[in-house]
Amino acid sequence: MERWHIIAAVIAAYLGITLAIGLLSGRRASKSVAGYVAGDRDFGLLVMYFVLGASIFSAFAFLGGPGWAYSRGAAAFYILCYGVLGIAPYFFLGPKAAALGRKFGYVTQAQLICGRFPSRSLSLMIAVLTVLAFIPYITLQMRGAGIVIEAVTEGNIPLWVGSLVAYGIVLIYVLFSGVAAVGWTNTFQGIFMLTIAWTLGLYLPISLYGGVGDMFTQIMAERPELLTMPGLTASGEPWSWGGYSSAIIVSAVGLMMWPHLFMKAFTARSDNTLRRTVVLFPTFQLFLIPVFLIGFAGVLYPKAPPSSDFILPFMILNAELPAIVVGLFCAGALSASMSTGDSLMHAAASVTVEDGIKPFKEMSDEARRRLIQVLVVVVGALAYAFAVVEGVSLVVLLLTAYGIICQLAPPIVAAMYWGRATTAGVIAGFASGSLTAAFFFLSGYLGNDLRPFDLHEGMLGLMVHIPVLIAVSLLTQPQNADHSEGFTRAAA
Amino acid sequence: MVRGLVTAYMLLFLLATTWPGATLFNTATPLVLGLPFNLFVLAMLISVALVMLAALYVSETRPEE
Repeated sequence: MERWHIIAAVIAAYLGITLAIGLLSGRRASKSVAGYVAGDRDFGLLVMYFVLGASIFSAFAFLGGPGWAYSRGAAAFYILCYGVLGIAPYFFLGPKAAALGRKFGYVTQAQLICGRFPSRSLSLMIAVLTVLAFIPYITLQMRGAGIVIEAVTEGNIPLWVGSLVAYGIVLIYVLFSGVAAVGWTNTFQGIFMLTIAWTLGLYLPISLYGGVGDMFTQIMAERPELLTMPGLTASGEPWSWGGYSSAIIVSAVGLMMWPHLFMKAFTARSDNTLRRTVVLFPTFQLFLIPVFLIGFAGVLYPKAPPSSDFILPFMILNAELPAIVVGLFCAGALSASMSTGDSLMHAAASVTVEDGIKPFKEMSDEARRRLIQVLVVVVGALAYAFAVVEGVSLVVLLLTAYGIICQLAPPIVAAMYWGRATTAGVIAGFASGSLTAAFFFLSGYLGNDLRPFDLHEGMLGLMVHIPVLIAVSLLTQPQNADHSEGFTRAAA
Repeated sequence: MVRGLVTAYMLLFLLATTWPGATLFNTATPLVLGLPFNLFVLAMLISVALVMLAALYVSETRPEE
């Protein structure tokens, strides 16, 4: 038996267990939309913790994080910073959204926004932009899974087969069990990948350099530019403080606005569960530190991977570990990809049906649940098509996606806290903010970067969005006080 | 009271992790617990945030319904 056979067998066993957990978890859920999309609003602390944690520990953190530390050094530190800032407001926003969800029966955030600001075009606009933002994100997760499998089987299982098998399994359990499967598989995968991250993050520096401190001492001597913020850009130039700082701000604002995360407010069993999840969330930021150590361990390693995203599987393969351990490590990396991907596919389909189709066409609960399942397959197939085609610009698209997603923050805050906000104000703000972000993205993409101070286009969008939202709201007829107070005064 | 404190800390966190606040501790030496000084400071900022959020939770919790 060759070495890669053992590795493949360990990965297959891991995938089997994931599938079993995914299928078993759905047996109790009700057959309604609330059951399929919001888990009958019955997620406990353990599951909520790992569902949110999986958002940080995606393929981006597990492959991109070490890749950034390896090639861009301290630039990777921004990933540590935004989580705390992003989650803290959710301590108040989350329970309030959950209360409104219970009161009015919402399962998506566009329903919340459009409940306060009734407009079918706003709902459609949010649905379209959300799905556009989701596709590159899902594609990245699929590629991540394929990359890991291809690398550790020495190319015997190519990227397209690896992605197909891993995401075929995700598809089966998401279709069958809905969000309950996402919750329980994320819990299993979360525990798994945390163990992997810590073991490897400490093992590599010790085995290669004699210790974490010794590793950094050597990097300091040879590549000191990697150890001061804001680090380097992808091409090895020094990164700007404007780019670094605005990346933190945009990611913090956008973090909980990703529909697959925000919607989890509607799945929590109680407000205390939500609040406890927020409190524990920064622990995941600390868990990222060993992941960075894996990347830093590659800096002075004599050989280099084909691209920086491959640094994790590359280091695993070169660490002279037993095949069974390599297999376990790779399963951990797959966990990171799949635990984010399942959530994304499920949310993309739910948003399309609940926000893009339901406002325009009356459908029974049963029919909507069916349609969501059909769309999970469609979204998965679309992302898979992108994943197997060589897609360099996808990372760029994902960064832009954050620019669009963070435009959901002002409408959400306005819907729940500002009684004077009007439908016209929210639509004008959302449209102008998204267009501004898109404009600056395109200007940079077409080779003529107009962004002042290298600021992230999402931040520039917000700088237009918020004043427009406020100004147009103040200039238009206030909403009926009974209506707006139903939202702003809702107990949270 | 606790709300104000946590809000103030989150503002401090924002100022300390972005320009120009982050330039104040932006040096790799000395190594603390094996980590470069700037990475160690960030880890500390996050750990304190954890304690702050826990305090907020304790002060805001009502009995489960």
